[in-house]
Amino acid sequence: MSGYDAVVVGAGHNALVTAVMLAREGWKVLVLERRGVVGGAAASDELFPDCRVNVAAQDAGLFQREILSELGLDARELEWVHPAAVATSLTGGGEALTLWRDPGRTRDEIARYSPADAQRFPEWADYLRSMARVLRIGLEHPPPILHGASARERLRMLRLLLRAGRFGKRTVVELLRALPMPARDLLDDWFVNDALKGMLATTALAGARQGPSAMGGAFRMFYHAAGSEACGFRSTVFVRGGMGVLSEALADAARMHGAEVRTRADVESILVEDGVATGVLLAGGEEVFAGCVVSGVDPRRTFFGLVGAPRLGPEFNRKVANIQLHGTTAALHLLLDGLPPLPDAVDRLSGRTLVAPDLDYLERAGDDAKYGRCSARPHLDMVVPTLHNPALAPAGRHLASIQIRYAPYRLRSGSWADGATHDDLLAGALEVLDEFLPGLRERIVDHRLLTPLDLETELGLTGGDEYHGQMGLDQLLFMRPVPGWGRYRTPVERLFLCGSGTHPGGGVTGGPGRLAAREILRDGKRGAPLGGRDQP
Amino acid sequence: MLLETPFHPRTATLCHHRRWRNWSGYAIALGYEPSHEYEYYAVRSGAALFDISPLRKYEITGPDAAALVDRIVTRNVADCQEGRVLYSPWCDEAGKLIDDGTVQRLEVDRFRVTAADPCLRWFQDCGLGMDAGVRDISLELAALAMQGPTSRDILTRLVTGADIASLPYFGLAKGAVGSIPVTITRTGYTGDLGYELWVRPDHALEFWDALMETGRGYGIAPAGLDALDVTRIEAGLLLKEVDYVSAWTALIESRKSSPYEAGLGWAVQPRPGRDFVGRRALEREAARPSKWAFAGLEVDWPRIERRFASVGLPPLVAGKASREPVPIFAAGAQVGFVTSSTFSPILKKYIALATLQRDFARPGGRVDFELTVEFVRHEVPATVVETPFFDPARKRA
Repeated sequence: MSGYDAVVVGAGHNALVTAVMLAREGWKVLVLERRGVVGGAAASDELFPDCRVNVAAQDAGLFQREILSELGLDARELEWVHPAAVATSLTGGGEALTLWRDPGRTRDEIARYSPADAQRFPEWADYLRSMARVLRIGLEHPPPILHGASARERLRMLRLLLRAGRFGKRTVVELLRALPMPARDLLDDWFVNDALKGMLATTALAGARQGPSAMGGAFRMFYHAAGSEACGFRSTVFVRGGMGVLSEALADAARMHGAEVRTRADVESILVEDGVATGVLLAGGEEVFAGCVVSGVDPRRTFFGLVGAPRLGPEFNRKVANIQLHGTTAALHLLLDGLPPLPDAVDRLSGRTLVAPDLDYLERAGDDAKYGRCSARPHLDMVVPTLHNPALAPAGRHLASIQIRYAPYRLRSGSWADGATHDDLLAGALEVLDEFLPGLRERIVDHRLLTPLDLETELGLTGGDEYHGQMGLDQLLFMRPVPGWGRYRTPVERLFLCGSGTHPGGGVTGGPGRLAAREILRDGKRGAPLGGRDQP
Repeated sequence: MLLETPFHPRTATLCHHRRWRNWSGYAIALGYEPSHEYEYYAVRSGAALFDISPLRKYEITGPDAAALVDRIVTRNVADCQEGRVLYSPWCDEAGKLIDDGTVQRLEVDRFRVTAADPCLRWFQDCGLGMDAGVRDISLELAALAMQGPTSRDILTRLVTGADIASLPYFGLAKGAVGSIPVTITRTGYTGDLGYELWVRPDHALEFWDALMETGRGYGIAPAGLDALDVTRIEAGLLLKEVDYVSAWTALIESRKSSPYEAGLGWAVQPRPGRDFVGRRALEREAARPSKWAFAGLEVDWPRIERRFASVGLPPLVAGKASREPVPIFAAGAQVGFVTSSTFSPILKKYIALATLQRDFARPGGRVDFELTVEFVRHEVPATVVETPFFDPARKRA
């Protein structure tokens, strides 16, 4: 027995948060990562020579900052970048509509499109903030237990409800009214301008495979605004040096507290003896034993890939098989030899740059995905990290990372293994890009397209779903990852989940990792000898 | 509109009274004669032919077929060699009964499982991640049960390619009747010597005719569900949704039963390294038994007769098996309930299957059976006995 208290499978950002929190309590922790870099989908990798590319996640706006202070990370070299532009929508014909961090500038900008909307926008920004504030109470605490809740749990729920109540009954009722709404309906309530509505609706698309008319869109808009400094849009904050810096800082903190973080350690299976997790088996045949196993890997891969369905019950397996896991985006990374000739490009492209000219454009893009096709005219979401981090690429070069939506993992015809599918997607995206951001195409030196299948094989995201499960109303709170197992525990004793597939959900939030660690620590305290240290 | 089994053209001609029961959506005769008495005695002294085609049938094949069946049922499938049949219940993850049926091992990697109600999706869910396929073959197989002391003689005369005389209890053989391929299992729901016969639906009528023709000199009679109900109670065999409520249909938790509570504790067969569905819950229950247990009851028949006689009636409960739940008391307090009861013509006793508090379920225990006569409730003494009530040596011989 190597006698670890906990072995953590995967070094995604949530797994690392859990690892730090356990190690801080004196647990002997081992983190095992299949790839050569830590961070999972929040990693930076050298996709082009001498470049650090944010492979999947671009933005740390949702990261719960309290986690850093909780982990004592403030003093480290983590530097947050708040770009001047929150988002820029390319509206066609070389035109752009930018939401600035400065509200006055935003108002002036919107006024060029619609004076009425410009008037309403500050109120909308407040509205979004207040909705997100109430929602955050749910996101920052463990999900409720509905069946057989103890007196203590009921008291906890009551306290949370009272806290929510402090924001005013009207706010809470409005949140309940709005949560299930389609983004389209909510935005129609507020604005008239198509370009503005299209732009704002994009925050409802991440984590779902449906377009802006689908139910639950408003929830996703609020969810994505629940981070720091949302200015009427999703919280957009970058990490100087790339997303990998955040993940590496977490890994360093884990090491500082005595945890081991091993990369290129491919966990082949989780060892289960008589319904109890005892450790993991590595691809090389090495067995690592531990008091408990914590998986940051998505639930379906954890249960079907690492534990094995035959070791679990059929009722549970049915739920796992039914988790909505749908990859709908591809990541296109570009190496550029300069910026496109957009006026104020340095400023305007500093946030998220979008091709989302109106709601119908997004809806049609989503329709294609609905029928298993890549969008003929996709919605694009681009970040140019070199604008605030020139060091990420060699001098004179820029990096652009573009999410192409929709590129469904499951295609009606054709296959991602087929090069032609890949080429068609790339050609389609470049064509749209050329139309909305003329001149960019000529700047491309190199490119790398990650299809949903690549995201699955390279990052281990089942179905290419970066959220480890869709952020629909049916997969929230106690229903995430599956109903009845919302508290990070699993039917396998001493096996816990801590990834985005658990409450509160996907995105670089750190929330699942933090709440999971608390539950694991609680189980450890309750006298269940989780810690391997009690063993010889 | 009820469905018709492949034997319907024959059974419909014979079932003059048109007394049908809906069995899984099919019309199955309750009896072919005004009373089921003759059919009952065909089971116990001749041969009775039951149409059991409405049973659900599943085929499980593939390299992991044995492992999958072993995962589904509570019994140890390692004990079921090729050419053998197992009776077994199966449970949900909480160790509560879902259904029960027979597991036929046709080949090393090929099983046939019968169930009372649809289980396809459940079996497939159990097989997630295993290299085995589950197929619903309910419509691909017609089935007859031939039960009774002369059934062996009839089949010996009729079947070629299989040694019927030496087919053991719960054995399986493949043979032919004329040119009709047939699978023969020495199984049944009557507790008597008997066989279940599995043929393709397009052979059904020819097969029926052959059995009836050869059986004529052996006292063969088509029989219906009324006779079957009496014989299965005599044999102490459970009926789903009557003697136990499936975990899938129970509206409340307390209606569900574990195998231990249903008298099927013997069918829970763990072995080291074996992980069947419900194992952990059943282990816990084995360590801390439930307060409920299964019991067979013999109700004092003379007292029943007297109760009826006192109001000038014959004992009206003698007619047929009852599926009405009946309370059971001990010293005035209810300690359980009867789920099935019948007058046994061969034992001349009133017998019942019951669920009792464990303390009252030991053989020899005395309890009181509630009997309603002319709208007045009475209590009649009953004794807890071992089941089966009727267990002739020929069943296994």
